[in-house]
Amino acid sequence: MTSLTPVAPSGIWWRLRASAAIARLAGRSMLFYRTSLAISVIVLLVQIYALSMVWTSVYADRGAVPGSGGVGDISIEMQLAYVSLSVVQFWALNGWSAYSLQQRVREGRIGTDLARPLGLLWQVVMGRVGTIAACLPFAAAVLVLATTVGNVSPPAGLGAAAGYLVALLLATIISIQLVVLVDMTSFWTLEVTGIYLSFSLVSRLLSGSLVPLWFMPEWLRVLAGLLPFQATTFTPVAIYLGTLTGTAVWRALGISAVWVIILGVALRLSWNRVLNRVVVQGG
Amino acid sequence: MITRIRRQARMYRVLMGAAMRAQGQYRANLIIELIGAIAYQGAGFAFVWVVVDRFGQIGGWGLAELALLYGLRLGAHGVFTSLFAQLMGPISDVVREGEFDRYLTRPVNPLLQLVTRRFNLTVVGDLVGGAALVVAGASQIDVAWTAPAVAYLILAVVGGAFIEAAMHLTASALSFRMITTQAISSAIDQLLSTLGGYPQKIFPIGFQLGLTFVFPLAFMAYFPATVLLGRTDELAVPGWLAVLSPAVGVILLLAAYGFWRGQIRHYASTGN
Repeated sequence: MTSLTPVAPSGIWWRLRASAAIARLAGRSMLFYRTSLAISVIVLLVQIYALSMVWTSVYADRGAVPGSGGVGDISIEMQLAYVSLSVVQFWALNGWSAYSLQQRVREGRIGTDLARPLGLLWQVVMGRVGTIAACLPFAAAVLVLATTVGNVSPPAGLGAAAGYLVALLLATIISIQLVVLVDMTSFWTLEVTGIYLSFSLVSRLLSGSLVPLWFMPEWLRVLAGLLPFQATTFTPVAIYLGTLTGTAVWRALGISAVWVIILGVALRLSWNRVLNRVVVQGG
Repeated sequence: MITRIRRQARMYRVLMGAAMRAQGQYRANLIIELIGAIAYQGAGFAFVWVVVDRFGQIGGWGLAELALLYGLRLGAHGVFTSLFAQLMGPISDVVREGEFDRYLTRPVNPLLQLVTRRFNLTVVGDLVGGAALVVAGASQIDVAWTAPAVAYLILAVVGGAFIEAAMHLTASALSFRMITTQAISSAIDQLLSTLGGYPQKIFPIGFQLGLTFVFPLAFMAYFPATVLLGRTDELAVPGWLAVLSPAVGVILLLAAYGFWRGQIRHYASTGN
């Protein structure tokens, strides 16, 4: 017997399948821009090379420089490996995506999107997941090639590798949460370019993707420590390289986990408010 | 010849004025866009500033000198985007969608119609940011800011803008043969901002020569800055070549225009 009226599908399996489909589509739309992705690989390599030269120059003939924040001496090899890993990781997690809320609001597609059986917030989150997944092979390629222009080292040990994977997972979640939070401002104002660019400065600086926290001035390091951005780049890379060890790792992972919860709640609360503001463009 | 140039200059003013007025309709967003534009370019200098705060210098250059260098590049970029922002990619759309057909039928130079197509007010952010850094840096440095020095500084900024324009014009000219040149333009833009902020002596000599003769970034800010700071000794090339930077800008832009004129002949309109 077939039903004539469409019934909203439900069930956990259906949700998983729908989510995976959205992520796959977002990933594929990234690959549509594969020339840009390939160019990104070159630009990232040049960026790693330039930053490596800057650090080599300021280290001069010193083999190691003391870092602040109780991390001990930072060797030049470690600093260069930090550069390669943080540049690539920041790029992969914060890449521009064709799947943004801004575009949907602007083009009025938001109406149809809201009518879909899977919640819009979830659609956007899965879109980010797909975008990041599409960047991963390119990020891996950059890391392999970076061995020629910079420095890449294996994880400091088995514990560091395990800690890194957990930190990376939390970093991915936090990055997605932050990007979606910023993306949501498009419900209040259509021109979000300025907000995006300001966000990009703050997140690049405070995540440690430009300079690791151990070389920041004291006040900036304290400020960065109080905000979620450092969990997206600095924490995983510092664990990977073994500059954070023992209890410091657990502490850093704990802080990241707390941020996941705080941002998750913030996202939910602002989402509920946002839905009352939706204006569908066009007709 | 002169009357022709004067006529084109008048057309430029009329068309650019229209584009500016069009942009002026969205005044509310302007402030936030400006802040965003400054913040975006600020990230690169934030890096320089944090490194110098810790290590005292980059390649022997102090913060004030680095500010001057960064400001020169940002200012040049600001001048470039004020005049030629449309060269950074939109040409591909213009060609693909057949908009270029219209340009060819009008009695105004097609390139002029392209660059006055739209005006983006955020360039004011680059100009203000660049000027602020130059002034902040210049006031902290022990250099006599005589009239010739200031004139050279202004020429250097314009020359830098011309070099950036020459690079993007060359890329744009390829869009008569390629489907899209957007990726090339964005690569040029990103490479300039990635490499432009540091004294190039920190790079190995081969790379420095590449940035001089292959991808002529060195002429855009680094060479003029060494001239103004009396630091031409550190260069891999003779000092007089660095002094000539503004002229190099003019030559490269003329060469790129020649290339553009040559490539226009390959324009084959658009299909349906």
